[in-house]
Amino acid sequence: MDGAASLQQVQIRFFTKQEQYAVTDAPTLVPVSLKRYGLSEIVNHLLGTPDTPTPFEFFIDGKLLRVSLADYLRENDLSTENVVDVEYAVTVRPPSDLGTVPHDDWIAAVDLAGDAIVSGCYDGVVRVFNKSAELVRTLNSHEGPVTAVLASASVENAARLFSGSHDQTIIEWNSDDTAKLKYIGHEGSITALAASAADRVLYSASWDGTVKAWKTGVSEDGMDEDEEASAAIELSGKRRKGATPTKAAATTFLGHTGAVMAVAVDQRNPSVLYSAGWDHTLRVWDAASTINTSNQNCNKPVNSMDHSVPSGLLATAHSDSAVRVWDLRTKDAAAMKLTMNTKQGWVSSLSWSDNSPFMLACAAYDATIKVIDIRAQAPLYTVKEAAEGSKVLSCKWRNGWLVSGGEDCTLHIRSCA
Amino acid sequence: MVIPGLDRTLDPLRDTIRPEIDATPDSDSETEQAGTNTVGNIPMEWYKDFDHIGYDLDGKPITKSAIKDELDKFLANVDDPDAWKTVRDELQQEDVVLSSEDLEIIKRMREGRLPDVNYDPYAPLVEFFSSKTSITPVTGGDEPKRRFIRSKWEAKRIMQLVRYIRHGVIRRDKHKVAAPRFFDLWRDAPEEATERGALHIPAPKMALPGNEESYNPPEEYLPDEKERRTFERTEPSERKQQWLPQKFSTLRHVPAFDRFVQERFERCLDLYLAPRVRKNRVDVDPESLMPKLPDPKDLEPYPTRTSITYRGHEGRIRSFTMDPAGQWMVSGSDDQTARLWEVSTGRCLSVWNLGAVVQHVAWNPSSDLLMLSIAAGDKVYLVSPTKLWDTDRRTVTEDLIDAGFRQAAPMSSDETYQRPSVAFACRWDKPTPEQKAQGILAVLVHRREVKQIAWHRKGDYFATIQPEADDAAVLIHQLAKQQTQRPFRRTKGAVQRISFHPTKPLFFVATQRYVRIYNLQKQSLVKALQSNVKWISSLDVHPTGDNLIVGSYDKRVCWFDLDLSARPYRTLRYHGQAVRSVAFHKRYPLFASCGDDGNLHVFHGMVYNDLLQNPLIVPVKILRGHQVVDSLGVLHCEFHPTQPWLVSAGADRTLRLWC
Repeated sequence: MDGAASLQQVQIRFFTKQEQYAVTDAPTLVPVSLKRYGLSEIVNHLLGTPDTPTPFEFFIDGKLLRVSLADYLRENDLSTENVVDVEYAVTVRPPSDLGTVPHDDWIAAVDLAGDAIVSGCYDGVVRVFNKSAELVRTLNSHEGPVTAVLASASVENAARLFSGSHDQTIIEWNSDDTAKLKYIGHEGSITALAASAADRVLYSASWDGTVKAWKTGVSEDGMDEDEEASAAIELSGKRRKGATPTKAAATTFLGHTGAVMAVAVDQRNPSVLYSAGWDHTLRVWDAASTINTSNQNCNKPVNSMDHSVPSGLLATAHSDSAVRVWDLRTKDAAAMKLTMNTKQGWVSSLSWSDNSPFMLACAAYDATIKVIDIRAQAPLYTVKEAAEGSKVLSCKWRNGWLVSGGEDCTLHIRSCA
Repeated sequence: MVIPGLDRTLDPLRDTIRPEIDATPDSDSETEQAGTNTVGNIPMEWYKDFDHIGYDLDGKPITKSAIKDELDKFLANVDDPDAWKTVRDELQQEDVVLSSEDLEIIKRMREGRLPDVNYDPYAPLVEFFSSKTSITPVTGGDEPKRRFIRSKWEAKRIMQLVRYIRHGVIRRDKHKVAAPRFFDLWRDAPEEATERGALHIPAPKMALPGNEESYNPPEEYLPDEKERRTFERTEPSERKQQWLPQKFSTLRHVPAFDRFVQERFERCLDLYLAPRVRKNRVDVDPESLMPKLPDPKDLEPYPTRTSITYRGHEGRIRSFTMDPAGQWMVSGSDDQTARLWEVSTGRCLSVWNLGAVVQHVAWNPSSDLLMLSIAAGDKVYLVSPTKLWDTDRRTVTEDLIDAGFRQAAPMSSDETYQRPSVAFACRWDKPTPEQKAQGILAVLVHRREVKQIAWHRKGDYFATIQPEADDAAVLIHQLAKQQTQRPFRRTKGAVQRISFHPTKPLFFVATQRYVRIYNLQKQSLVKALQSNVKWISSLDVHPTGDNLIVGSYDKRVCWFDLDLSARPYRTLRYHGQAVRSVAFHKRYPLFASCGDDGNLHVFHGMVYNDLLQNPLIVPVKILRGHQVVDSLGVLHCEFHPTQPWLVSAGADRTLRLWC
C-alpha cells in the first residue's frame, strides 16, 4: 500500500508572483510523496540553478503546504488525476542574529526607518543606532520612560523622529540631539505613535482614551510655531519647560471609552486612521474630520496594531495570546479575517513585514517572537529571547530587519527576509 | 317478539288452499308429531291469563283443556293408581303417565348412576387416534397441507382488528368500568395488605455460577498446592466457599455433585428463615438533582491563566491596589516596602521603604486626585506617586493636602487630639523632607497597628481600622478638613473589615461573626447580618450595593442578599484552607475568592434588577499558580477596574495578573 502510494504521481503546475523565479507553466508530473524540499529542488532544477539552490515555499489554494503532497490531497479530498496549481515564493528564512545592544533599562519601544534603529528605554532615553549596532545618537529629554518611538527617516535626517513617554508628552527631535518640539495635551501616558507620510501629521494614542493628531514640521512655518506655542501655553499652563517650544494638539479623536493602546494610519489612504485599545474596540476614523466612521468589537483588549502596506490588512495583538487580522476596507460585519492563537500568552507587539503581504512578526511576554504567515495554520518560526520569562515589549520588522527589545534590557537585531 | 293472539303471519300464500299434511309416524317434524301444540316451544306462562293456547289452521283459538282444581287433583290422586307417576306436560297440555323405563331412568339418576342401563363406562379403550403409528390407521391419508399453513381467515380477522384498533374504532378506554354494585365501605381504610401477606416479595435469586464453577475452568482459577492446603486446614464454617475448582477434560468425566442435598437444604433454609424486606429503591435520576447551571463557556469573559507575574518583593505581599483606570498598581509587603507597578508590563517603577510591615494599601477612587494610602505599622501614609508624571493631578492633590494643613494649623495637632476629654485617636503629621521627596503628602499616626483602609467612593472620606485600640477601632477621616471622627464608642467584638456602601451613606463593619450595617447620616444601626462563620476574614460589597460577600477563616464564602435576609443567601465551601480575600468586579458579573490553599476561585455572580430573581452564582474557574509558603497561600485578590482580569498577591512574594 505504502509502496503504491509512493509511486503515485500527480500533475502540478508551478506559478509564482515573483517574476525573476518564473518557470514554465506546463504541468509537471511529480511523485505525491514530495514535500516542500522536494518541490523546491524541482523548481530549482527547472530554473537551472540546482547548484546554487534558492529555497522556496509552496502554496496550494492560498494555503501554505506544510505536509507532503499526498497528505495534502488526502486531507482536502482532491484527486491525483487533476492538475494541481502550486504557487511558490522564496522562503522567508528564519531570523538570524546580527547583534545585540545592551541597554541600561527595559526597552519599551523600538522602531526602524531606513538604516536607523531607534529604541525607547525605561530610563527615559531614546537611542539611535545604525545597522552595525553602533550607537549614533542619544536623545535625553524625557522625564519618564519612553513608551513609543517613531522614526521615518534615516540616521542623519532627524526631522522625522518622535518619541512618546509616560510623562504624557511627545518630543520631536532635532538632528543636533535636542528636543525640537514638545507636544503637550495628553492627560495620560503615550502608548503609540503613527505618522502619515504624506500629510506630515503625527497621531498619538494615550491612556487618557484619546487619539490626537499633531501637525509636524513647525520649523518650516514660523507663524505656525508661534501660534501653536502660545496655544500650548494657554492649554497647558505652567507646564512649559525650558526653551523647548511646546505645542498643543491639533485635533482630538474622542470616542474610546478606555485606554487607547494602538494607532495606525492607512498608508495607502492617509485619510483613514485606525485606533484600538483596552475598551475592546477597533475604531476607524476619518482623519480630516475626526469622525468615527466605523467600529469593530473585538471582545479582547488590544495591545498593539499594525497596518500592512502591501496587503492593506490590519493586525491586532491581544492579551489572550491571539493575533487577529482585519480587513476594514469591507463594510460588512465580518471584517475579522483571521484569529490565530499564537500560544504565547500576552502578545505585546506585532509588526507586518513591509515586503510580504502575508508575513508578520509578533512579540509576547513569554520571551518569544513568532514569525507568522497568515496563509499557514501555525507560526513559521519561533525566536526565543535569551532569558527565560523576560517579556518582549516591542518588535519591528522592516526592510528585512527584525528588531526587538524588552525586559532583558537588550536590543536584539536580527535579519529576516 | 311473539305477541299472543297475533301470531298469524301475513303471508299471502296463507289464504290459498293447500292439502292437509298427513303426519305419518316416521315423519321428522316435531310439531306434526304432537299435533296439539301450535305455539311451539315457548314459555307457557305467556298464555297463563288466556283461555286458549295458540290457534288452529283455521285461525280459531285452541281452548285449553280444563285445568283441574285442587279438589280434582286430590280425587285423582286417590282414585287413580297411576297418579303418582303422572306428570303434566305443559308443552302439549296433557298428562303423561311415565312408563317403567322412565321410572328406572329417574331412579338411576337419583342414585347418581348413569341413566342408561346399557352404557358401560368401563369398556376397554380402543386407541384409534394415538401417538402410536399403527400399520393400518383409521385414517390413512397424509396430513393435509392446511394443517401446516396459518389460517388465512384468522390472519385476515386479526388484521381487521388491528386496523380497527389503529383507526380508533376499537378503543380500550371505551369500555367503561362498570360502577360497582355495592358501595365499598372500607375503601379508604388503611391498607393491611402487608399484615395479610398480600405483598409478594420474590425470593432472592441464587448467584449465577462463575468461571470457577465450570467443569473446565481457566488455569488461573485452579487452586495451587498452597491454596489447597489452606482450604483443607480451614474450618468449613470459615471457608468462603465449600468447594475447590476442579478441572475435567470432558463433561462426561464430571461426577455427581456430592453436595447437592446439602446445598438444596441450605437454600431452603435461606428461603425459609431469612426475613425478606421490600427495599424501596429511590429511583431518581442523579442529573435531575444537579442545579441547572449555565455552561461556563457562555459566561466568558473571565480570567483563565497567568499573564504577568510581578516579581520584586522580598516578603509576603499582603495587599495591593490599582488606580481607577487600571494602569498602575501599588502593593504592600512584609518586607516593609510598598512598590509601584505598571500593570500592563509588570515593571516596578518605584519603591517606598516604610519601616514597618505594610498591612494594607488603597487607592483614592477620585479621578481628580492622584493619591493612594498605605497603612504600615501604626501609620497611614497618604502618597501621591512622583514617578507617574501626572503633574496636573498631583498638583491638585498636593494643594488639597496643603490647604488642609493650613486650615488645621491654628490648632496644634497634639492639642487637637490629646485633649483630656477625647482619647488620642489619630494625629495628622506633615511629612519630613525625605518623605516629601518620595511623594508622601501626609502621615496619620494611629494608636495601634492599622489593618485596613477603606475609601469612600468620592475620595474625600476614608476609614481605617485598628482592632487593638478598643474604643477607637474604627476611625473615619476627612481629607479636605483633615479631621478624624470616631463613629463608634465601642465596637462589639474585634473589627475585621470595613467598607463604604457604593451609593448610599451606609457603612459596613465586619466583626468576627457579624456584619453590621450602619447609616452614617442617621447614626443608627440598619441591619446586622449573621454570617454563621467562625471568623470573618474579608468583605466586599457588590457595586450596586445590594449584595455582599464575606470570606472567612473557616474556608467559607458567604453571599448575602441584603434585600432577602440577614442570613447568607448562599454559603460556598470550595476552598481547602482559610479564605483570605474576596472581591467583586466593578463592571463584569464576576467575583473571586482566594485562600491559603493557594487557589483562586472565580465565580460568575449575576445580580438581576428584578427583585424577584435571586442572584445567579456559577463557579467558572479555579486558578492555580501561587505557591503555599509557611501554610499561607494567596493573601489578597482584586479585579482589574476595567478588564475582566484578576490580580492576586501571594505569600510566595509575587503578584500575578490572570487574564
